[in-house]
Amino acid sequence: MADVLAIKQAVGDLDEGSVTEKLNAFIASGPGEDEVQAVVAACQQGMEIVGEKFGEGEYFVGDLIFAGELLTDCIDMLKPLLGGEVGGSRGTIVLGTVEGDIHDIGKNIFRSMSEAAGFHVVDLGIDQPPSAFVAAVEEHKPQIVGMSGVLTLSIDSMKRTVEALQEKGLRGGVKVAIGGNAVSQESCQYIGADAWSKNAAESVKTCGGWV
Amino acid sequence: MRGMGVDMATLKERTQIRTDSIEGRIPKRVFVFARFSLEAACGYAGVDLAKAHYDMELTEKAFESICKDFYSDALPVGNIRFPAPYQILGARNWVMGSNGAVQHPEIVTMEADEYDEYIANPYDAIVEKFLPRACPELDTDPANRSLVLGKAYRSFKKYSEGTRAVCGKLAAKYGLVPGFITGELIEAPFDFLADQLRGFKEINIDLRRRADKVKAACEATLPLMLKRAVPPVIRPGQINYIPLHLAPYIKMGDFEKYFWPTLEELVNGMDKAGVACTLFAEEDWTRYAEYLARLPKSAILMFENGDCAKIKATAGKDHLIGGFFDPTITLTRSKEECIDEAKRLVDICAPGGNFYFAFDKGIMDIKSVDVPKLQAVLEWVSVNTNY
Ligand code: B12
Repeated sequence: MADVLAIKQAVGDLDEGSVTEKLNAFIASGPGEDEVQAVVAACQQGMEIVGEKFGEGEYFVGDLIFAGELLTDCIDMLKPLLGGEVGGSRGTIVLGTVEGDIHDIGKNIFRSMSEAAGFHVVDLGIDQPPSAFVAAVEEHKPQIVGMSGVLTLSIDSMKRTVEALQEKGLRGGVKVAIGGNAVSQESCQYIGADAWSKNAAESVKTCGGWV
Repeated sequence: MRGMGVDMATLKERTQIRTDSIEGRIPKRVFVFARFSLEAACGYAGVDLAKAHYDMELTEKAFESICKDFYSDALPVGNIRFPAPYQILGARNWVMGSNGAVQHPEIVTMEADEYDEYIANPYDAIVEKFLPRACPELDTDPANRSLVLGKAYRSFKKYSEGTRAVCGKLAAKYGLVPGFITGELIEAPFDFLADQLRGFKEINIDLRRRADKVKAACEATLPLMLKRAVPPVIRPGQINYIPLHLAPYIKMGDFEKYFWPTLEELVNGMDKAGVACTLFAEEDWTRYAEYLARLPKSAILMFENGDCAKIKATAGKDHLIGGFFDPTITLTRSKEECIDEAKRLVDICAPGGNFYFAFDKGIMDIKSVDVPKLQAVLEWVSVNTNY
């Protein structure tokens, strides 16, 4: 049985050596699927610790970036034990950084965490125009559309993307979540999104409640 | 506006205030160093930005509208990012967006396993490997490579000389003196490694996975930066510009070990050679103020955010400091509140001298400010700051 608390703490401490060692030992023990899911969840909870330390001024943006990388690596290690894909059964999220914005660090963290929580994520990449979101929604029929953006101008791109979904009659079929440094309660209303957050862990919970 | 039809007395006064500020005497009043980008100037003048990049008459029209309508002692305009040479090079790290703004997408030009090669011979690694990756047009046979480079250099020269001529003309016409940026653009060795070679994301991963290499790479970068910072012939009054980037995003311990030492050596090296510099502290440098205070006095400081009282008491004791004023507050606050904010800043920083008035960063988009309120703030500083 894995010590999920220790794994969670090691992820929270960004102690890569210790995380890798613990996960390797866990994988070697030949765990069952439920156990693997518990460890995936522990890694994700480790990110909540990271978020707290960031909020308290102990961690900085650079640590968030490394945390995203560490989480992705953990999920990649655990994936093979779950038949190739982590979850993937809870629903589909079409995700992208909106037009005019090329920042993707926050988006990638949200993607890793959603995948860890069992979502299938279609990642469009950066600087994606409304038409790309529309095309992806038509093709993949997701339950959720996630838009990321850190620039002030990204708010307008998000608004235009929601309008484009509306025009195609696709808005009613999806929930829209937004994230990134530029978003707020105010901008969420202006854009016409369903939820906003600057904390990926929180957003993943919200998404979980939608499906 | 008082900027127009400037007489000799005004020019003399501005020059005196600037010199007093640089040399640590209490100036007659606070020196005003406003900064507007070409983007903002075009937005204000109603000039097409994408065209202005290639047309010096349009650049002049845009710049002149700023010089004419906003109070500043220093020339408030300038530009160094010309799209034409980058386009000739096929540059991936500086590209013009659809609105004409030249932007910096993140690219990785050096892989993690190439650190040793870079550390052993940074110049060759840059020229032979990393530059062709950043600029694919250079990734060709030597003959064509030199043609491309020649073309790009000629283009850069054309636009930089054109811009300089426009600036010189406007400075003379409006009696504007130079700001505190007159020399080369230099990066802190750590920032050069991060911005030009590894990228923002990778450098933060390197700090955890191969910190020793990062340290060695910064040390290998230092001589390159010094060489650029101290040209064989130093222009009198040369003030280089160092925009500081990554420090606010890393932990104190990492800053002390990896960021600071080579930056300090760089600034000391310039100082010894008789070259001054202006360091722009992006984001919040309050927690590093004690370090900045250790730099030679020839280092002028400019801040984006942070606790100006704390910074004045440390880095601002012996160094000329400025910045902190966020011009976007003009969109949400009344004219009186904006002036109050400028007054608050001046009251904290100006007593005893060693302070100039500048925005927290260059204005990138004129829509991000309220023009009449901003004009009022600049005007206020220029007449109400006799400390
Ligand atoms: C890293 C960075 C860069 C890197 C980007 C690397 C990359 N691959 O992303 C580089 C150096 C390339 C860069 C370039 C530029 N940048 Co930049 N950059 C930053 C910086 C330092 C950090 C951003 C970041 O990654 N934060 C960390 C992540 C983890 O946070 P986050 O995005 O908020 O994500 C979290 C949540 O919001 C949430 N989340 C994120 N996405 C989503 C999506 C969904 C659906 C959900 C539910 C949740 C969610 O989960 C994450 C984890 O909790 C910020 C400064 C800052 N303090 O924020 C400036 C900043 C964003 N940049 C800025 C600027 C101006 C630029 C440039 C335009 C500069 C230039 N002149 O070229 C260019 C961008 C060009 C463009 N068109 O986009 C400005 C923006 C100003 C503004 N108001 O618009 C900032 C604020 C810096 C500043 N103080 O001026 N930048």
